[in-house]
Amino acid sequence: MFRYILYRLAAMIPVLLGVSLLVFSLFWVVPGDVVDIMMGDNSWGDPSAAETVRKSLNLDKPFYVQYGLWLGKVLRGDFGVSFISGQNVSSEILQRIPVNFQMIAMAMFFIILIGIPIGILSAYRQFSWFDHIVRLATTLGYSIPNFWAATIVVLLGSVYFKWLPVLNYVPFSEDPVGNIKSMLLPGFVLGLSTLAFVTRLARSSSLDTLRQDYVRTARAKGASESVVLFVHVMKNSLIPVVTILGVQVGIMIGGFVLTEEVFVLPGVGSLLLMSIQQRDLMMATGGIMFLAVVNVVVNLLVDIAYTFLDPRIKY
Amino acid sequence: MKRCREQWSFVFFLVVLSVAVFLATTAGFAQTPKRGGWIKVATDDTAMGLDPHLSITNSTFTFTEHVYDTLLRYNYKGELEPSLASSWKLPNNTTYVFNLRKGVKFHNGREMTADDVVYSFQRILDPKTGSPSAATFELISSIEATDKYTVKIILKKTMPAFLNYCAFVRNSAIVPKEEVQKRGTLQKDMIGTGPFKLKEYKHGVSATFVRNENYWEAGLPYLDGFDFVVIKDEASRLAGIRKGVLDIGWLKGVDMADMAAKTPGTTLIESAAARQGRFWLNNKTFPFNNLKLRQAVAASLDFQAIIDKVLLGHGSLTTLIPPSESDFILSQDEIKKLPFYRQDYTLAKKLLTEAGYPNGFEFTIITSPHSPDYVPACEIIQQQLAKAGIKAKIQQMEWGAFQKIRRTIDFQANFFAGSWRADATDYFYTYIHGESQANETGANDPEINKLMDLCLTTVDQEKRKDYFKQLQYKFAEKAIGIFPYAMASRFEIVADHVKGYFFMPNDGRAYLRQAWIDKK
Repeated sequence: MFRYILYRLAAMIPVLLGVSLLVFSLFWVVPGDVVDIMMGDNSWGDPSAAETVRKSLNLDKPFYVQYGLWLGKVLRGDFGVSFISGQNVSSEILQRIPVNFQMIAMAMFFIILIGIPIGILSAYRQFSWFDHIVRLATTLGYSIPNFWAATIVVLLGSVYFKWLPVLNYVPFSEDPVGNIKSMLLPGFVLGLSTLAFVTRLARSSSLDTLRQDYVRTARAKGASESVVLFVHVMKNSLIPVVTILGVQVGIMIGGFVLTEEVFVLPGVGSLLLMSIQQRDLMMATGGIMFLAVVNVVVNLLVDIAYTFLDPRIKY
Repeated sequence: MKRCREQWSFVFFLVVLSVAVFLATTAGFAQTPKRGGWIKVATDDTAMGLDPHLSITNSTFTFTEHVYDTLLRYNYKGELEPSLASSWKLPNNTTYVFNLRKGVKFHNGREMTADDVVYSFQRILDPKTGSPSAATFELISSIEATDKYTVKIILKKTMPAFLNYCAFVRNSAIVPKEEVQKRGTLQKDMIGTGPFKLKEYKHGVSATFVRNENYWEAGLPYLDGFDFVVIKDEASRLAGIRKGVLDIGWLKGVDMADMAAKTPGTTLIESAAARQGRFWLNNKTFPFNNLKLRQAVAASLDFQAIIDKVLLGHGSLTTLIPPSESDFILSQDEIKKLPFYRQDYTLAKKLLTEAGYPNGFEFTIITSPHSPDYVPACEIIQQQLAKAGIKAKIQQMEWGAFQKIRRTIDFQANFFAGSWRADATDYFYTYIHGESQANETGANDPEINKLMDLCLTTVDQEKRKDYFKQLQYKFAEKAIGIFPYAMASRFEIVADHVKGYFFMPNDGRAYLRQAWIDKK
């Protein structure tokens, strides 16, 4: 097991190298650079001033030199400084990470506490009115894109339901209760499609499990319905759900950008979008590397979680 | 009898009016500003770094204007007034002597002196700094501190716009020498002499400004400080205003502004119409190196239709300078009479035939969805041109890619908007002058070059006005570029409990220094 984890962590190195190379080449291919953006709708009265700035940022050097310089620094644990703000990339990202972890945690909270039990109950009462409503609601939830849901929640919340906590972000360190309140809706919106998807998956997987021989055996030996449902059925229906949760975390990371923009949250997603728009190569590469690491680690955690859910799986 | 009643009613009207005026003025005077309080202000874009000499974008200016001062400054009517320089003299047309205010302190506690002014200008001019403002001040031949509070600047030739640039934080903020040397650049921190000090800055998120207790204008600012938050999404900014989370916030889209105007308890202020939609034609390559084809395009367009459909009426006609340049601009009626300003397909057809393209021609407009009006405006231009047989293709690009193409002049036509400038010549000079190193339209028309030089250097205001008039006429006649509309660049929504606040024509929020809160 330990060797397996080490092996997986080592396998991250080529992945990250590939990701960084890809980001650098994309920045190289995409026209326009940070100096172009700096001017906005102005005009460089004197183009040599622009060249001075390019030179100071090493943007005049060929692609492989820029990448080499960057890689050399990264190997020494230095992700560079932002072209624009001059802020240290890793400290800027570290500062914003808590928002993202909190968003994922909130989303997971809704998914696990609402999605899974409802899915199982819905399977248990297949074809009841409860089941019909759940199926309809989940189809809806799965089809709504999260940026749309976010905009609607923010607009409704600011005009008609003023008690809804939107646009009130405060850091956890300043006001823990206010912070959790302000993150509830972003977390819910971020997790909405996953919530719907997981509910459906938990339902279909439980339907399968409910027809298994061991469930019949459990009932035959006199176990109560709740024991049957929450011990025998639930645990065995969760393997596909856990797999999907891992994949869905990746999708949720993709949802960071829009959710943060609409709810005005200072997370890594909005940082990333900003740096890409501003052609801030250092910040963008740092941000993407971070998300890549999170994705790889989450996948590893999912694989490890299998061993607990299914003792037959060993590494 | 009837006349008598009319007279009485008139007298009655006068009485009512005078009482109303009396009440209004006393009520106005009764409102003495209250000190203290905190507000939340929203902007739409992240600063491109905080160093006022290195970044001259509007997004940086929205942050730096609260912290830095300039020698002169603008008031909300767009007039120059003293700032760090309490007075100034022009011994001759190329020499400027500024007498500095005494006892002005930087936020680090040190007194601002003539050496700082000299240093700031030298830093801008130094090629090693890489300041985009260097070109603006290239006419400075010498700058010296004649004593602790006097600065003398000598120019190589006359430059009537010089004082305007000395009044704009985007061009000439005064910075403390030792803080620059300590940090290398001022990209991460702001230390000026302005009404507010930067307390905390989170790049791309927010900035916190607090009152500068040593500010040189006695008693100001009234506010203890304010939070400045970056909210990129227009709908979220609108939501923040409606919910009352924001006290001041601005919008860019006209549809959003119309929605926001209905919010009770707030007032909507449009900034001056200094933002122009610019349809630039590449004068160097096919098809627009051909004068007749440029004119044919201009003659096929109906600007009012673009204003009505794209801007929902929030716009006006413009020449190469926007209506906010009230000293030099032609009236709307005069503009309508400029050559090729009225849609005339017969004329367009005639021009096309003369140019040898009786069945029209094809070209591509590049633009970006960066601002909400660019693509819709291009689409209407496309439809209007199609009726004259001219096929325009629209190519949309991401903003950074668009900038690159602009810089390398690798286009047939492009469309984007320009914003407020410190001097009327800034709206066109660098873009179309044959000798401009940053000419991005390939234009080089001797007649227009000469007129631009005259506009740039003539000191006599009456003559200068006349040159501007001629230039606007020539620019329309030669159709070097086509500017379909001018509009407010921002729609500022201000909560009614914020008093004493004015929105600047340049989208500046400098008047936060005298804003105060009237809340029960």
